[in-house]
Amino acid sequence: MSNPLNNEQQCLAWIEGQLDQDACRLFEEQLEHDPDLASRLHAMRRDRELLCSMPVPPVPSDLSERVERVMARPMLTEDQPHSLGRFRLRTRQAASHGHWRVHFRMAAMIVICMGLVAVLYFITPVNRVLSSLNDENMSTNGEGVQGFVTTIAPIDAPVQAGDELSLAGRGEVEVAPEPLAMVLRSDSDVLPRLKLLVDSVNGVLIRNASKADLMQDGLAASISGTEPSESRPSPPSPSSVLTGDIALSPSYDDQFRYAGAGSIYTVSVPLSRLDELLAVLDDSFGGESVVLLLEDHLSQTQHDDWVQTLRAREAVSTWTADRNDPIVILPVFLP
Amino acid sequence: MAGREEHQDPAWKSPQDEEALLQAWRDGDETALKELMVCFQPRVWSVCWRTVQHAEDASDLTQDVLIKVMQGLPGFDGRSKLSTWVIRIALNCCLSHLRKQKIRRHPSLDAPGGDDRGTRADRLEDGEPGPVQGVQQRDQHRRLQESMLELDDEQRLLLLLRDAQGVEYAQLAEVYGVPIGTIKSRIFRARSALRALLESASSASERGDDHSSGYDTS
Repeated sequence: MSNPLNNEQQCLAWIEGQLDQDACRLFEEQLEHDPDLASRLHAMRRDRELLCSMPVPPVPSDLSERVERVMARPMLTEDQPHSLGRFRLRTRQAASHGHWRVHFRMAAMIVICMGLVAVLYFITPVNRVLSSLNDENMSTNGEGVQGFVTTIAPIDAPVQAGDELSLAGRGEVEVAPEPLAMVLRSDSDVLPRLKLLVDSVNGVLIRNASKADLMQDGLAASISGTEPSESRPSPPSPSSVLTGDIALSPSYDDQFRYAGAGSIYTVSVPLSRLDELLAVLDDSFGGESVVLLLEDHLSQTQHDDWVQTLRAREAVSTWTADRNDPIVILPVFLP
Repeated sequence: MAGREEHQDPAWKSPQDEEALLQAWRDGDETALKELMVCFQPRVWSVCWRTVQHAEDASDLTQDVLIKVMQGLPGFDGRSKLSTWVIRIALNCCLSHLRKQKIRRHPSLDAPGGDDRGTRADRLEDGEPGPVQGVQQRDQHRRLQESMLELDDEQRLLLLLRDAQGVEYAQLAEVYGVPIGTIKSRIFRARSALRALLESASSASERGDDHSSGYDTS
């Protein structure tokens, strides 16, 4: 039988008091023949007892609150997408999965679309189609906004029928799937503070366009081809861009939606600086600010803030997986 | 984390309770998540505080761990126990923190702590609940804490999880992804290393005519 003193697992079991009575007696008998080892093992046993009894200060009372606050800040180092949340993704979002079925579906849709276009071409005069599209898109009365679905851009050159308009860099820029809304306490200096906040991360702050803005000459038209002389798009009112580069601002249809929901301003920020923006938000607005899921806010959710911030964070983290540096858009609500 | 202190903690829950809460959350009960976090909070805090022995750092670290737990919960596949998974996250966060803070790992205990709360040694004492043990034992705790800080990061965490948190060997083996025998061997080596550090500190303080020479080895 081997000497138990040579077996470190036996020694460990003795130190931790895990040997049964017989094994313990045998081990201690052997230990009497090795006073040096006995001394060490006894000391190690006391070390363990002392370590077990080492007091720990109570959990800080504000820890839960801190966790909740940080949950409002998206960590940008997500490792995997999750299934949690009811947030929606925009259709303009680039497909992140290169699965063959997606390609197959796209190919099938292209074939169908080409067929439809061919049918339309042979059945309907092109001018009539363009004219009807134009009428629909330029409608400014009542619910005409519903049909206003294309990005309107300020341009310098006259537009020809059929031209596609897009801002430099905007066409390929992926934007947020509207998971978030920024809610700030409304007071007299909220706008200057908001400007400072946005400036600190080179973001964009705009005043959202409203339906009333559609009536202004300064706002732009659609892409669907109109007579340049009559409805040439022109740059939006400079006053709508409060700070930053308009190229990173949300599309007008989004602005209409936000404005319709009660959001006066919108902040756009590159994803890479979102965490920074939210950190500054915490510092400058503190408890007067909350970032939450837009749909939660609009639907007057019954969840408490803690869950809302959790869901907001989850939405962003899911959305940000596998993306480089898209633009995140946060409509600002001042209830 | 079936440690001794968990049972004294009102927030302590059995693994079955934890699984039930997780299931409730998956079934749509969002308050269950909050309850889970409340239940993990003291355990995670305890590991973090003992790892860094600094209230603010421990608080930040606990926060990071809890956030990672919440982020990862939807993807938790249940192959290990929930508590094992949380330990793994805590362990990774602690190790990562220690690596980042390597330079600041051995500040002088007499050096100001960078705020108005006195020296680091004061803060170590402040962290303790009260003079329930004698002066000598407090001094022993202080020496132990100092020596723990000198210990290799992985060894320190192993000892903390095993002794201070009472984590079972099987769970540790799962967390580290090694056989139980390997864990036992590592822990024995960690105990030996800690003992060597304590002996060295003890003899150093004796040379420095320190009255509180710690506990002897006889």
